[in-house]
Amino acid sequence: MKIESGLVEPVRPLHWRLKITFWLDVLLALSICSLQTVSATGLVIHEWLGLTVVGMVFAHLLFSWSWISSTSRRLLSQSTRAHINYIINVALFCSVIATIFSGVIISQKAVPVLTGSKAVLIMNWRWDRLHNDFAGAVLMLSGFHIAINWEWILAASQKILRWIFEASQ
Amino acid sequence: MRLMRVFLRLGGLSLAAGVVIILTWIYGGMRQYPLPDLQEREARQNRPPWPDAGESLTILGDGVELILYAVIGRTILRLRLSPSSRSERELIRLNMR
Repeated sequence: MKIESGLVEPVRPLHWRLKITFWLDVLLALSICSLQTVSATGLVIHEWLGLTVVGMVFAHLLFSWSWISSTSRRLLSQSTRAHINYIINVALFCSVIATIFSGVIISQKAVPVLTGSKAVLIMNWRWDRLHNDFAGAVLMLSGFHIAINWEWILAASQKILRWIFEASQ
Repeated sequence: MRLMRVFLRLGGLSLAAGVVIILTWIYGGMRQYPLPDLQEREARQNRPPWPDAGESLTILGDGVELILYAVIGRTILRLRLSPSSRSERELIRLNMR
């Protein structure tokens, strides 16, 4: 509660959409980092978390739909920055899907449970290598994605921190 | 109506993902990689199913790598490109309300 000139004003509630988007993005960044090394999470968590990332990415894209639709419609008349942002986002989407798809092909724990099939005894080395390459691309493009959206991240972090600080008082 | 719109968008995203999967399948079929050596094959075939506490620090290393890419991206984008346009900034604000 904020008290000004004798009047009691409620602290303006932070929009739920910003809160969800912000924490979803934090969760996505943490998931992408922890998915890079299988031995750190173990194969079971690695595969299930990898499948969960698909849902998180789709949710992230649904929350960013206004940007996607407006930029797609006026792509030619946009600035160089917007073009590069768009290319990075498309490449990131393709890399994530390719990583998940190659991960599904070489899956030993999650997909056999979901499909009720037996895990493959011999690893498909080609898809294993591709999975690694795509995962590396996801990490790199995520870094670029963070870089180009830095202003948003900074502004959202400030709002969220201010809200946490005000709510705790 | 709103739910319908969400489903339509999800359908569009799934369609785009489907196209990417087909392209990945074609690309994967074309690539040829040499077999990894026996030791590496053994290690990759028998990965630990559960977390290894000794390896947990590597997540931090991957976090640092992500930050490093962000810093590189930030440096390049700051030096070479114009700042975000007014309409882009408006969109950022709109999403934050």
